[in-house]
Order: sequence, then structure tokens, then C-alpha cells
Amino acid sequence: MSGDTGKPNFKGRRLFLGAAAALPATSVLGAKPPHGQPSVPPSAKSVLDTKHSACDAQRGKHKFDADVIVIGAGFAGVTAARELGVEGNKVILLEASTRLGGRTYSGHFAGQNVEYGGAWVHWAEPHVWAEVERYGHGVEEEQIANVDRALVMLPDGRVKELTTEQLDAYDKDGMDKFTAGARELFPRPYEPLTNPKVRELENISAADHIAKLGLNEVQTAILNAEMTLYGAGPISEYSYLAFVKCFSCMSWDYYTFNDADRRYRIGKGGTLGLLKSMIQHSKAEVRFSSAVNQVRQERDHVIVTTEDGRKVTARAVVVTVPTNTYKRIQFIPALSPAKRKYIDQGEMSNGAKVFVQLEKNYGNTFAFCADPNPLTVVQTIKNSDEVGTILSITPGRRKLIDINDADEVEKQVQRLFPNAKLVGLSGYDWANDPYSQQAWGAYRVGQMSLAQELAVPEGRVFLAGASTAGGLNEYIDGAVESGLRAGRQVRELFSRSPA
Amino acid sequence: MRVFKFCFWTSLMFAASLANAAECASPEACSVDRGRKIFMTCAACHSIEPSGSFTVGPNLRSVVDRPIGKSPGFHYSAALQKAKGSWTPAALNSFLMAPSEAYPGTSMAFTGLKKPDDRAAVIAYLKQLSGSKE
Repeated sequence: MSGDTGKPNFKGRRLFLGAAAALPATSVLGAKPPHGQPSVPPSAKSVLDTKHSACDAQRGKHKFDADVIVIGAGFAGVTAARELGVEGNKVILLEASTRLGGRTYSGHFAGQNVEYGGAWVHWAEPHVWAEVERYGHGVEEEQIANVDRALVMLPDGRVKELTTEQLDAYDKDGMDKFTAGARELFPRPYEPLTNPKVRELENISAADHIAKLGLNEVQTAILNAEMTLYGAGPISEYSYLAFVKCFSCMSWDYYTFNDADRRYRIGKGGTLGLLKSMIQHSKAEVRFSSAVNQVRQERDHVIVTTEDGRKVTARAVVVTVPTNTYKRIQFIPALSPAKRKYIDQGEMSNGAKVFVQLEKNYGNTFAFCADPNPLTVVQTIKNSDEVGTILSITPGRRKLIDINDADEVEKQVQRLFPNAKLVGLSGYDWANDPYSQQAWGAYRVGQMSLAQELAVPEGRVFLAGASTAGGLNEYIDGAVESGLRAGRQVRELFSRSPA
Repeated sequence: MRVFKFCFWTSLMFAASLANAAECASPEACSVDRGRKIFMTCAACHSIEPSGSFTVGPNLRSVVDRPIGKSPGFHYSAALQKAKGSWTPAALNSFLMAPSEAYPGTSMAFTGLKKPDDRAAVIAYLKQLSGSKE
């Protein structure tokens, strides 16, 4: 294998059935190896050995290291790897970091299962829901259905306390007005350009659209926070139709949309648990710490080079990296002008996640904080006299706050909960992760039609990732959709030109 | 009560505000207490289990004065593999301020702790952990 140096590090090792992972992978996948010894259960080890020899034999039959290389081990990459792996293709999955997940990241905070990245799923999200069902993960429910306090912070910092009924009524009315005409605009939301009017209207920003709706100041603040969240940036730059498309994917229904937004997490290990199930099924070989810096396409194969100079060859490559990290990879030949234009524009997505534990029990509170207040959306995930209050905070504009600065976060939280004392915090700053450089992908004004070009194959190079999805491009569902589509495209290539 | 040997940042510890000074036995204890809270962010990726197990980042149980980029079993970025020296409190301080500036190419996706007293508190906490069996 061209990627092997024979050195006893984990890069050349394989991940089969989750048991023989490279070392960091093993611990990511749940085992706890003491000082460098991967713990392989005896039953899994025999499977591993079988797979090793089977694959070695298979590799001998082919000219290349693999049938398919997948770049990026988030939901898009793992889905593509599973699609192609279960059909008997040899798949090598290259991941820059030391963990599965991409922009999802299951962890623990103050005794709670938490998601530091993409978190919530719903049965109205057809692709990810099918995976949840397929692998029997089910869901865990947040306590948002039983909120007893509702707060709205206006742009000037004043805080309005509403009854939960008022919040629902205000939010629904504002959202109905914002999304008016959604059925006509997006009759088939997974083909967002079906209605030609979309191209005409995609330059309207969320801010301009809100200004036309004639809402009261509280409703305006709620919509401002919602759009800051979805846009993960200034709402004057976020395309209003980008939001309406996502809303349309939820059967144009306010209640479904809201439940899909923040109510159900994936059960049995969260996003990581589901990814482990999928990767075990895929039989793909996962190589961590393998950041790619070049993708070269030849007549009948591709050569992928990692930053440490190793080369891997295959008949096709699926690239699933976040849009803002494409500049780390040189494509030879270059990607199409439309793709390059989208990548050069980049996505505005500047979101983050931070969990905080407060000393006292402040009830089950939900809060919207309009821009430029930095916390954006605050949701209680646990409150009791024993633990105090644990909040999940999703700042849409992390530039407005240093989420690692406990004093600063405490000060902002105190604007909602006066005198609250922070017991601890833990966050993830997606825009500053060199391998994500953004949170969820949000279309700027004018980007939606351009983004449709991303899914167009370029010979043996296929792009996936949530931003390339037709439907829920800001969701885990979009990542899975794109992985399924890329899998189909590679399958079509292989049937046109067999090995 | 463990005796701490502090260097240049000792004076900064008095700025600790997360921990209520009245509840701590000493400024050092306050700083460790504050460091434990700040470390919750680090704990998303770093284990402190005495077994030495690791998750996304290396185990930090005994990181203080450990050779940089050499924790057994953990695969480091090239930037850390090549690094010389040990994680002295001063080295930790400059790394925690801005990891990607201290070691360009590190895969640690952390912006950094911008406040000197935050860094001092985390280092005080790590230092206590290094000498602890629990």
C-alpha cells in the first residue's frame, strides 16, 4: 500500500467492526486502551483477522489501493463509505482529525450526554431518520416540550419575560408570515430551483424580509434570533429563501419544523453512536490524522495526497469536507468555475456551541437573544435543585463572544439570569477548528442556485457534504442525503466503467 | 495540604473571580478550584483518568513537565511530534494562550484562553493532578 511506511503508528491500520481501530480511534469509539494497547475483544479479533486477509487478497486483484477514497468522516463521508462498502467495494476513509463525527461531536458535560455540534433529528428528516431506524438507535428527548419560562432579549439588551403560550403564539405568527408562500416557492423542496421565482428572490436577505412583515418588537427579536441561528452570521447576509427552503422540507409545517429543530437527539451514543454503527456496517478502512492536501485525477484513477506526503490511489474519490476547508486542498485539474466561485465566497457560518452549568435551579427556560446579543438561542437541558441549571447555548455569531472565557460567558448569562453563578462551562468553537472552519452551512444571499452545482460530478471526483444537499443543507439530514447521492454517482461510474 | 511552587503568574491568581475567595483556604486553592471549572472545556477532548486513557486529545493527567508531543500511544500532529522540550508551566502558558500560534499545524481545535489568570488556574489544576493519585 502506498500509504504505509511500516512505522508502528496507527495511520496504516484498519478500522474493522469498530474493534481494531487506530489508537485514538479506539478510544473515540468507546474502548479505553491503557497506554497504547488497543483493546480487541477475542470475538472481534478473529473477524478482524479474516477481514485483513480478505482485503489483502482483494487489493492484490486491483491496480489501486482502493475502489473508493472518501475524504472526511462526518455523516456525509460515513454514509458514502457505507453505501459503497456494503456493496463490496474497498473503501478507504481519510479523516483529518482523530475522531469520527465531522461537525457532530458527542460528549458529556456535567453528567449529561451532550452534542457539541449537529444534534437534533426528526422523522421529518427522511435520510438521517432512515439511518436512526436502520441501526435501531431511537431518540432521547430534550425537555423543551415542558418549558416553564420564556425569555426574549431585544437587540438593545432589554429582556422580556413571556408566558410559554405567548412565546408560541408570537413565534408561530412571525414564522407563518416569514415563510408565507413557502408551498408555492418550494413545491419540491429537495429540488429547490423548481420554481423559477427562487432565482429572482434569492438575493433578498433575512433582515430585509423581516423588515417588511410589520411585526411587533418582540416578534421581530424572535425572528432575528432564529435567523441569526440559521444564518450563523449577520442576518443582512443570510438568504431568506435558504431558511424557507429548510422550512419547506419539514412539510411546510411550523410545529414539525420546531420539533425537528431542538427536541430529539439520537439515542444509544448520540451522533457518534450512530456513526459507529454505520462505519462498522461499511467495512471501510478509516485512517485518522490524514488531512488531504491534493486530489489529482488521472484517466482511470485518482491520487489523493495527505499532508504528510502519503499517496493513496483509487478508482474514485468522494470529497465531503466542509466548504470553508476546500482551500486546503489542491484539485488537479481544478474544479469547475461554478464550484470554485461558491468555495471562494465561502459560507458565512460562524456558529458555536457552549454548555454551562449554573449553581441554582432557574427552571426550565428557553430564551431567544436577538443580534447583537451573543447567546442567540439558550435552552435548558437539565434543571433540578441537585445540579442547578444546565444550559445548551448556540451562539450564531461566535465573533461576538469568546466562548472559552468563563467570565464573559457568565456575564452574558447573567443578563438572562441575574446574579447567576457559573459552576462550569464547556464549548466547541467550530469556526476555529482548522478542519471545519465553520459550523452548519448557511447560504448567503445569492448562493442557493450556485450551491446546486456542487453536486455535479467532475469525472472521478464527487463532492458531498451537507452544503451539497438538495434539501436540508444546514442539517445532519443534508449530510446523509449527500452521502447517499454520492454513493449512487460512484455506483453509476463503476457500472459505466468497470475495474 | 499540598505545597505548590508557583512561578511568574502567582500574582495573577488573585484575580480569580469564578471561585469565591472566601470559600477557599488559600489563593492557590482558589486557583485550582477555578482551574477545575475551566478545565471542563478541555475535558471535551482530554481525559485525566489515572489509567492514561485518551480520547480525542492526549491524556493530561501528568502533562506538567512531560516531554512535548510524546505521550505514549497518542498520535500527534507533525507539529507536536517534532517539538522539543517539556510542558513546563511557561510552555503550557504560551500554548494555552493560542495553540495554533505556539505550534502551527497542531490539530488541537481550541482558540485559546485569552486571560492570564485563566491559564494560570488551569496550569495550577494540572499541576495538582500531576501529583495526585486520585
